[in-house]
Amino acid sequence: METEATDPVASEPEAQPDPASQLAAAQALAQDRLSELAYARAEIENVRKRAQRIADERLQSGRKQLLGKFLPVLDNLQRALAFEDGEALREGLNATIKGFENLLASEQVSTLEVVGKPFDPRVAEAIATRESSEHDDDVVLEEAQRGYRLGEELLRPALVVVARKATPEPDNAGA
Amino acid sequence: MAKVVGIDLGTTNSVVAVMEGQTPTVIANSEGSRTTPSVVAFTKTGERLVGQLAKRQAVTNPDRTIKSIKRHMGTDFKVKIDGKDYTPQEISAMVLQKLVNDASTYLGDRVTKAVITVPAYFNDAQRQATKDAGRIAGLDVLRIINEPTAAALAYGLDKKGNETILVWDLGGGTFDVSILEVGDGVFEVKSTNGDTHLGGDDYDERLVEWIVAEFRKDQGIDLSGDKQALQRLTEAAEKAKIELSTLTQTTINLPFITMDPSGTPKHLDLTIARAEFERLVSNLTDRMVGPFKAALADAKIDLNQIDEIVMVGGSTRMPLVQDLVKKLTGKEQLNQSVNPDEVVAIGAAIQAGVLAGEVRDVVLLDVTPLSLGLETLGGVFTKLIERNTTIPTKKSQVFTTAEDGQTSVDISIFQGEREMARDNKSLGQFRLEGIPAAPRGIPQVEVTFNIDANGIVNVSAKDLGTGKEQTITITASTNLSKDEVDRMVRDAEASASEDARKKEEAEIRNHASSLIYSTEKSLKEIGDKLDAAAKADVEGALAELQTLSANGTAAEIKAGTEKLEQASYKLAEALYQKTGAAAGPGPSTNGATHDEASAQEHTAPSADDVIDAEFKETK
Repeated sequence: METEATDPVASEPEAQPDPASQLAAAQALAQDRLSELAYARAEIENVRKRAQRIADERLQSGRKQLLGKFLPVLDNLQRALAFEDGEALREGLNATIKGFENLLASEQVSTLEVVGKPFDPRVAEAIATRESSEHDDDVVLEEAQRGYRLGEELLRPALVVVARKATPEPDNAGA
Repeated sequence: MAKVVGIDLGTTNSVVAVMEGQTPTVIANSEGSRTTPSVVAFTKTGERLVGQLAKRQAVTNPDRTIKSIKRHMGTDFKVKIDGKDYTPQEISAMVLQKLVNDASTYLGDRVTKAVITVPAYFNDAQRQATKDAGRIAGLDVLRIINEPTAAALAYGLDKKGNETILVWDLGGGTFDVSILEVGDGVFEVKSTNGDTHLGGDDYDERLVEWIVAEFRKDQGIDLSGDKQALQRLTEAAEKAKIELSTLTQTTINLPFITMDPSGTPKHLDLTIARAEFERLVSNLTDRMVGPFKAALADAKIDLNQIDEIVMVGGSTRMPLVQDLVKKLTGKEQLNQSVNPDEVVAIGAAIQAGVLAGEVRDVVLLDVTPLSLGLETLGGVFTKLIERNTTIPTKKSQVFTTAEDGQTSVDISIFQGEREMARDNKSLGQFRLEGIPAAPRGIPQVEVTFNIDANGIVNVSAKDLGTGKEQTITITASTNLSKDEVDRMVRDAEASASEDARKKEEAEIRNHASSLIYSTEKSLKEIGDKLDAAAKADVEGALAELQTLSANGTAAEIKAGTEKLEQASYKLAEALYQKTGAAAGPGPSTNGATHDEASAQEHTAPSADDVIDAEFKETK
């Protein structure tokens, strides 16, 4: 069966719009849409730039707030320098550290406890191994530098020395 | 549509990037870092670690930690773990999988397609192995492209005509120099050379050696056997190296680095100048010259044929590397604005975007180099389109009149960053006439700035009351050279505080004028309802402010304005006491605020567009 769509022009030419004007209309529409697309794309870029600017401003104000809280620690350290060595100075330094720790805690910073536990690369970085007869393989023997967590995230891994059990044979036996 | 990512699978570090709209974006991994160490480890408990975690445990697990597997790609090298052999492509697949998983999480969509980069000198077996690694990681590798080509793509050099490009890539552990030719968007590697064991890590090591030697000289203590101290030294050395890229000298400060035999703490505090650092590493730097000359000879080109130079790898941030390249090539301009650690992945992402059909040349997006706006009351420059806005763009704002019975407004269009219109570049002006006479603040004139994709600016002003409209087309805005634009931006920065003062002064005068107007109006309407003393107070303050407005300083006008405002408050109180709080329609109790509120109400189609600007008087 032939569909009428195959020769509509031949059967009823006067009912069809003029192909030239049809083309012109289609082209005009395409041009409009292209222009709209260009504006829309540019707008995406502009929204992105605005979002970036807002993010930068927030970051800056966050830095300002946080850094402001650190200044009293520096003040206290500088005050400490005015004194002679001695017990009082030690006490002052301890109090300064305490204040600093409280500040960190108020910012959700917590200390990682790693010594004596099995080494975990999620929270610690091994800087050396040491043979040990009284510890299991891979137990953290010593902390060279403390690690910290910020909320649930790792802020800084602890730097640790890990136990290596003294064994006669090389370790390709497999677990 | 599924995203295609671009991956720089590096010897020491890998990076993944993706096109977001028209912008390539580097994706941070699950640990929040934009680069991922190309390290894989098998723990004794059978767990597989990739990236930073694998690196952290390398010291305790050296036999089961695999680094730099890229050096073995395309060979029959095997890694034996728990009796099972792993090929380099299997190990690389683990790195790819980590990158792709983290990218999938970021994009919220499973990534299955990628473009991966390889060094230009990789042979067919090495390229095939890289492709296999992708396949093992479950990826459809749409294309393997050369690292220098990716870097050139990141700078859009494919859009240039026939050019010769030098790509200088100094990474953490390898140095590659390549010469490319581009024509019709197609890149050809003419030659490549390098040193597979030269990189930023060598520079750090030199600095550590120097610190150890200096400390030994000063304190007589050798730190080289102290692993704990060395760890801190390595970190400090890398930091110092980075600082010396921007500073001419830096200090290395490590308190309590060790103890002397008596238990007294020892501190390390050294200062190093950039020149000294450069002397320490000069023979490392010299090692780049030979490969460069060889590459040039292999490509059979002269120095003067090099059109573009692209810097890749974090170590090219060191001025000594940039100086060397400039000295060797005699060229001052280096392409180094894209983060050199990420430029290869970014180029790969652009290629991926092209293959995914996301990057098209249909619409080339440009930005306006300077802000555009018009002059408002007091000569203030009111910006409608901020600089660096991507075009095409269209912005409208509704303004009002400054005078009673004003029937026309002058639209003066300016371009620039200064606060006062006259300090900017004038682009043209026109007048919209036939506004029905009305009190100031009532007519609404919508001004629209439209910059089309060709940078042509159309400004129209429409009286929303009558629908009358006037338009001007400006093409001059595109004629500014980059130097002119830079100069205008610099000028604006230099005069920022002076300009802010002028703008504030203009605003003080505008505010005073508006207050005088509304007070006069209120007095006329309700003056007879006031008691004589309050009225005299207001009239006195009014007369004073009128005089000050004509010939006072900004500070005097501000004080006068405040005085009149205070008097008006009393006027308002008096009025309320007389008429009761539920005052009938009409009389404004405080002319100034009422007027401003109504002006905003009228002039603002939406809250975002609220503007306190009025056109200056035209007649």
